[in-house]
Amino acid sequence: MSTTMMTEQNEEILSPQMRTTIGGSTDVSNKARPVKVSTKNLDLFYGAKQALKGVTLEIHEKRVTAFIGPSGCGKSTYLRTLNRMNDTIVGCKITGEVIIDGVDIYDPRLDVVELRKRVGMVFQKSNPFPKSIWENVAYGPKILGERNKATLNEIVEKSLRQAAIWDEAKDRLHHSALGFSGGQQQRLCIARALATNPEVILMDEPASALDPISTAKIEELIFELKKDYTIVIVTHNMQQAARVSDITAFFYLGELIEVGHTRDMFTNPAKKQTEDYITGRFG
Amino acid sequence: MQQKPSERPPLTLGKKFRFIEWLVESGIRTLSFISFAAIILIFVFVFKEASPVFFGKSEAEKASTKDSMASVINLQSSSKADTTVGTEKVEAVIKGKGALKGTDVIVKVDANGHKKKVTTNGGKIEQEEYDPFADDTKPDDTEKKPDNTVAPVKVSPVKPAPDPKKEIAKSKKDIQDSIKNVQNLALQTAKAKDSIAAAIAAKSLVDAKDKAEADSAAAKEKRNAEESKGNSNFGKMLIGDTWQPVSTVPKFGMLPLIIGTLKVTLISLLFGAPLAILAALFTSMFAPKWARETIKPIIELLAGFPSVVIGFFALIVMATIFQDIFHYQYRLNSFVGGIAMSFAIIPIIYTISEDALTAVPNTLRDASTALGATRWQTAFKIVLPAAIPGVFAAIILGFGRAFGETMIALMATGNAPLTSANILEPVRTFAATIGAEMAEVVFGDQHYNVLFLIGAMLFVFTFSLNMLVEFYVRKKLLKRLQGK
Amino acid sequence: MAQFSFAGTEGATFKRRLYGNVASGVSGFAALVIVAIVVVVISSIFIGGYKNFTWEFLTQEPTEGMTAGGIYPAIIGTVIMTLLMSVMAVPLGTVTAIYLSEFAKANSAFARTIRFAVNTLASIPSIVFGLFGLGFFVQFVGKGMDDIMTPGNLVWGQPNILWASMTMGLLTLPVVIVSVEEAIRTVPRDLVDASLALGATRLQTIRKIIIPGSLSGILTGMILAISRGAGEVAPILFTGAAFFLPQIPHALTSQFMHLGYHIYVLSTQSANVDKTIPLQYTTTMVLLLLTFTLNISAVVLRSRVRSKLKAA
Repeated sequence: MSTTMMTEQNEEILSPQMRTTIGGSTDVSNKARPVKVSTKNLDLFYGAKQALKGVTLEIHEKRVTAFIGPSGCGKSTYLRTLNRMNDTIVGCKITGEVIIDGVDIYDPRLDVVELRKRVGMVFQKSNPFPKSIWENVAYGPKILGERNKATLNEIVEKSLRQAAIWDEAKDRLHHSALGFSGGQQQRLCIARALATNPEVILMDEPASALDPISTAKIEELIFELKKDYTIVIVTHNMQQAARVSDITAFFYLGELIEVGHTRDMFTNPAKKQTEDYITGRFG
Repeated sequence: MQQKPSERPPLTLGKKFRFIEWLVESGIRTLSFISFAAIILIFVFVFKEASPVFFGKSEAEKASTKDSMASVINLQSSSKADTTVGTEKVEAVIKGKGALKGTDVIVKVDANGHKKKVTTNGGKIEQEEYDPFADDTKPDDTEKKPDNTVAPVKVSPVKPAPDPKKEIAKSKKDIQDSIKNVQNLALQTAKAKDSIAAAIAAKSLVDAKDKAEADSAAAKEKRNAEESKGNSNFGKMLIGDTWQPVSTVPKFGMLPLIIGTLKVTLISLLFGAPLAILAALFTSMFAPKWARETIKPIIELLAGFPSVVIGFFALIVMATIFQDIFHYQYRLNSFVGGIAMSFAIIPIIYTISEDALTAVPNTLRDASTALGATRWQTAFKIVLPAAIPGVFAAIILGFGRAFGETMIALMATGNAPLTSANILEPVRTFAATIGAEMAEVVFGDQHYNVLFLIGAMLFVFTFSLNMLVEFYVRKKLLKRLQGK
Repeated sequence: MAQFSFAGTEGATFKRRLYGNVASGVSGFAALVIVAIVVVVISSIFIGGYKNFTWEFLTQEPTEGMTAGGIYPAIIGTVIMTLLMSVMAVPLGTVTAIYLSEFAKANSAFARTIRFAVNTLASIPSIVFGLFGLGFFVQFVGKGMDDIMTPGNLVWGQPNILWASMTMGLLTLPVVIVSVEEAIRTVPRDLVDASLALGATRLQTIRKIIIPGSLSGILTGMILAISRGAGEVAPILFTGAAFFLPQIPHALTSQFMHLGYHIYVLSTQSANVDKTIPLQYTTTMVLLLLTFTLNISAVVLRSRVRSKLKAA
């Protein structure tokens, strides 16, 4: 397949009409959920290298949106633009729009801290702070100004319960979080992200380093959290995307190739590249 | 806290102003800029102080003549205060200067003691045979006076100082007379062999600062007159072969210092560099684990030796042993100094070369070994060539360190500015010159500026070596190892 | 070649073995020489010095024209000077390192310039710092202060412990900056990201994640700086060290005795060098013990930091 063809195809995909047909129409259970996050013609450069090329996409409230694609396709990079975590990377330049709740988050007047309160993130490698479990979960509320111990306790318990790790954690709240296993640590990180009560949770391959049982637990958790939160998950595991997500977006070489209802994507992909990837011909 | 998302106000534009955040961040910025500023300041200041040697001479003179009015008053008043003759007064000032540095008990300081000092000063420089223990450059230290003697000197000129203007107004004629007086006095003193040293030293005392400036201005005039007679021009003087900063006609010929510095540095490199590089090769290629883990910390320990300790060892222990073995004439010489200096640079060269050697990728070693090369063949034909830029950097940085090292040079090289190729004769390095003479020198004087010039030279030299390592060697190293 | 054979290679093998032995022998010998130097220096100083190493020596003032007595004022002077120096250099260096690693953009021309300046500062001969201290602190700042506050009186415009400490502080600044920056690099970026993603501001992240994570590095920097400050003599030669001062420094404007300077003056300047040689040995031994203790603890701490760096 030649490059020119690919570009043409993409332009087609990214046309506004296409997007409207995707957005919500195929969703059976919850029709026409409002759009929470949308990006328009998002380009991202690391120095001279372009990592994202004209990505236009809408993410709907209280849905699980999964990004799939081979390594280095830009899906994690895209995820990190949604809470401006790329800000810390030197030489990273972004053009285009990222709109959350009607606000362009790359507007210079935006307060990044306010944004990140609302858009939580779980990382690929579990990264609990070298502090106690309690301290880990309470970290977010504390830096947001919560001082009351009772409230903090309440938040900690609630978050740990939400992240389905309360039973394992309740007796060792004041032990180091590093004593947990990898899967437990990752769920703790989810609890930590929940503690600031975000609206959107970004998950960057949250289960990639975990064993199957822990992975299953995380997936279950995502399913539960969907009720209250908008979840965006990056995964390299197509089965996982198929299991947990409502909407799937396929990235390849920095471009958004196709986006649609997960069931449709996996049964009847519109693009040849998507089909090739899903059937395991590359990636 | 913990509002439900729905209860929360929607995301809006508008930066929150966090006062404490802002305060601390600006604090951090300010503090770090202070330290950057300090770094830059050092760069600038050293050069600034050295520049009068070339450019600022006339300006300095202007300044001092400008000051002479006020200084006249000072002089006048101080002569009022202690009704002594010019020369004696100057001596008092010098005593004060010495006392500035600290106090001492072994003292027998009076006019005689002082005179003695100056003679040594002059004498020593011409002296070819050098006895380190009779080091003249610090006679102030050995002839320091207890604090109480300083007090009168300190106080006497102060009293009238607060209202010089009044005095000017009071008696213009007096001033003019006293200008003449000063000039006469200065000329008179300048005739004496040690007068300039006296005037110079006098200048450094703050309370007598202005007066001293007048003195030295006069002295400078005289000096200039002598210079204009065709004695020498300053540029030539700097490359001359005589270093006699304290004499009637000071000579700042740097040739002996250059030779001395190079002798010591080269000896230390010739002795230290091969040892350090071979040792680095040993620990990175040949040594069994236990040997490596013993040798490395020991060399790190050597890196932590204060240089004054090495200097002491060289001065007290090594110099004697070497003289007993080699039977040379001078106990302290560039050979002893160079070997002692190598103790200071061995750890530097060792550490950097070792880093460079261990940075050679294992794949290279493995490839070589797989082709049937022995360990020494791999070491000398693969690893060492690959690490050559790093080893080169190590030598350069070691060179820079030896070049600027003060205490070892001050203590172990004999400190005589001789122009000689013989490594068994005493030498004086640049850094040691500053260390030995700076304490005696008058602020703003030519000698002071020349010492700053030496400092600036050391600075520029180490700076260029650093540049070389940073931009050339590192690039080359990257190129070799990664093909970049 | 018809047949694969090792025949005829014995000579080459022998040569190779010989070279190999010579190579490792020569390089091993070099390492041995260095070790021997260290051992000889240490042992000669300790042998010369241990006899006088008594409690009285550490706690008494020099007496009889410094040919007897102890080095108490020198020890106290050194301690006060290094303390003053660390009070200035450690916070400044730490903050600068934080600025360099967290605020300045890593590859910007500005940050690179500053890093280069820091490296250069680290390699400038210490005597140049002495020059700077005398010219700037004593003559410029000190005299300036005198002119303003007490015209005509010599209070600040002369060498004193404050100027010496500040000079030494500048000398040790790069030591602190480099080791704190190294320590900050050991704090995993993951944790910083996690903190930022939770809505923490940069400052909160620095305070709660970066500083606790790099504490050992800050400590190492401090110890190394103190060790350097205790051992360097050249910068204080004319910025504040005194040959002999019976009382310990009581104000910022007093001069002070310093162990290293004491060794220097005793061995080169005193009226009766031979008589004080035992004292010189013991003073050197004390200084060596002091710097050893500091350096060894820094090495231990630093190796811990480095292993953490590798693990991260």
